[in-house]
Parts: sequence; C-alpha cells; structure tokens
Amino acid sequence: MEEQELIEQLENVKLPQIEMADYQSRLKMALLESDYLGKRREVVFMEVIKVRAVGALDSIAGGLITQQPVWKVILATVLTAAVIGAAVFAGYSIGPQKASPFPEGSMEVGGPQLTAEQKELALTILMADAGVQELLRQGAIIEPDLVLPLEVVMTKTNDQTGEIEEIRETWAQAWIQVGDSVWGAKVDLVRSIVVSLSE
Amino acid sequence: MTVDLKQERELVVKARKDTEVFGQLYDQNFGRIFGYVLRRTASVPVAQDVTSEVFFKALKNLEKFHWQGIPFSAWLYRIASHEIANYYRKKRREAAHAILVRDGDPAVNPLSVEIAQAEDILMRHEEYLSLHMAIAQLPPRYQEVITLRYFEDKQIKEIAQIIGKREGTVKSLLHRGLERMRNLMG
Repeated sequence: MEEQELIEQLENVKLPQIEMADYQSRLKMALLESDYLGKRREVVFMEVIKVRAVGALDSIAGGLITQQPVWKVILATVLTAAVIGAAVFAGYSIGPQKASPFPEGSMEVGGPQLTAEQKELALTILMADAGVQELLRQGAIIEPDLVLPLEVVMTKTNDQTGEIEEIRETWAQAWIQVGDSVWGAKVDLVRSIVVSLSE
Repeated sequence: MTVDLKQERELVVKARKDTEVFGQLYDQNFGRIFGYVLRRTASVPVAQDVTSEVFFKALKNLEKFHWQGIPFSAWLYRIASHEIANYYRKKRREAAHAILVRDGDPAVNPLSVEIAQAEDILMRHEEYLSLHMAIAQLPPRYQEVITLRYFEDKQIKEIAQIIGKREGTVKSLLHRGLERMRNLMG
C-alpha cells in the first residue's frame, strides 16, 4: 500500500460518532458534586457498573484487540483528592457520607478505623503486589499510619426482583511516598488484591 | 471549531473558583475528549473510564494550568493521552478484580443500556475498527499523532500544541507512524 493510499483511507474512513447523554450528565454531576474547588472534601467516588458488553471490542496494552467477556465490571475511579493526604496527616476525621450520583455503586474514604489485623493484612497484600514492589525498588516508603479505611458501597440490581441490593465492604487505602510523588493504592481486603495503584 | 481564546481564558480563571463555570468548560469539551478517547481505544467502557479520569484530573489540576495561548482543549487532549497510556498500565490489575467482583446475574441500568447501544454503533464501523487495529499496534507516540491528525482532523500546529513538540517533530512522527502502519497492513 502506498502512503498516499493509506492517508486517503484514514481521511475518508467513516468514524463512529457516539453521544452518551446519560453518561455525560452523570459525569458532570459527579464533577460538580465533588466540590473540588470549594471545600475540597476527601471523598473518592467510584463507579462500579456492570456492563452488558455486547460483542465489545477493546484494545489491550500490546495494542491487540480481543473480545470482551460478556459481563464486565468497570471500575471507574474518578477522583483522587490531593487533599486526602493532608487530611490524613492531620488526623482528619471523616464526615458524613456523601450520596453517590451513580446508581450503581460508590466508594468513599472513611468508615471505622482499620483493626490491627486489617492493617496488617493490607500491608501484606501491598507487599505482595508487583506494582508496589516496583515502587519499593524505587525507594518507596509505606507508612502503616497511612494505611486508611476505605468504605466501599457496591450496589447491584437483583435480576429477579429488580430491587437494588447494597453490598458494603471495608477496604484499605494506602498512601505511598516515592520521592516527591505520592501514590495511592486501593486494597481489596476481601479478595486480597490491590485494585488500583496510581500516582 | 473556532475557539475564542480570550473568552476561554476568562472561563478557566473563573472555573478555578466556581464549579459551575467548570461545568461550562466541561460541556464545551466533553464531546471532543470522549470522541478522541473512543477513537483511540475503540471501546466504549474504556472511553468512559478514561474520560472520567481526564475531567477529574483537569478539575484537580486546574490551578496548575498555565495559560500559554493555546486552547484549553489542547491541555485536555494531553491529559487524555496520558490517561489512555495509564489506563493500559493498570488494566490487567483491574480486569482481574472485575472477575472477582462480578457474581450472580448481571444488573442492567440505564447507563449500561446506553453503553450497549453505543457499542452497537461502534461495531458497525468495520473499516474504522480495521484501521484502529493497525494503529493500536504502533507505539503510543505514533498512535497519538495519527489519531489526532486523521481522526480528530487536527492541523500539525494543533498537534504540536497538544503533545508539546515542535511541528517538525510532529511531521516526522506522522511520517514514521504511517510508514510503520503501511508495513503492518501489508
């Protein structure tokens, strides 16, 4: 194929134009509700949506395209408050929960303090995680005091009754110092995995 | 789309203190950012996930945004490119968790219906999906410039603003990216 031929193909291909009004408005609501520019509360929203992925295509890290499983859960961690760390250092106590704008799940920082066993479990899970190990090789410091409770509220619709059921779990959130940067890790204590690790 | 930079600059300044004004910036830019991420990833759920990250990051870092005479959208595109790469770095971990979390029969909510419809539309664009498959095999720097140039219809100057490189570099990246793509497509 000649370059010009490829360019013409790229220029003339019919592109998907998709509008997602519901998603757009939900995200906007979440942004405005996040109050990032105002009081800067230490709330982390998480959307846990069960999605019917009808023949969805998805790209993977290597750039290949694979078929999605029929069902998939999208964990959209949409907010990481910079002030969380500051609040934590100050021994901030978490206020009342904030209603999630998402109908299918929310995640919030707070809840009861972790027990010593939960904290130890969180540290064990963190230490076993490949991503965290890489950070440790870079000189990361994990302070046990910065392993905090993360109350997770997941909801799902009962397929038979149509009612929304709520599932609450206590996870841990760890703040990891790597040089000048701070990484946040969400640790699922029920399934013993690090769910996300991001700067 | 012609961007009134002066007006946009005023909006950005106001948005630092007023979420409603940020909402205006969001409305102005949501479509193009979601569209860009969708055309980069060819996946509606991934595009949603990444777009959410982009706007929350933008909101979080708005005070760090220094006006340099380029559209606000260029900054958002840059965040989007970063988040796309970031998403794939984290993908394996989250996919593993997704399998563990799902149990019982799946739930359907209005948003999941919207996603399913969007995926239906996406699946009908076979030629695009075929091109995307080739583009997705390129290193991210080539994916970025090719998508911006041909799918987002950006000029070389605009791409240079988005990726923070010189126009000559963009041209070079485009040329090399197309060459690699031609080889992949045979």
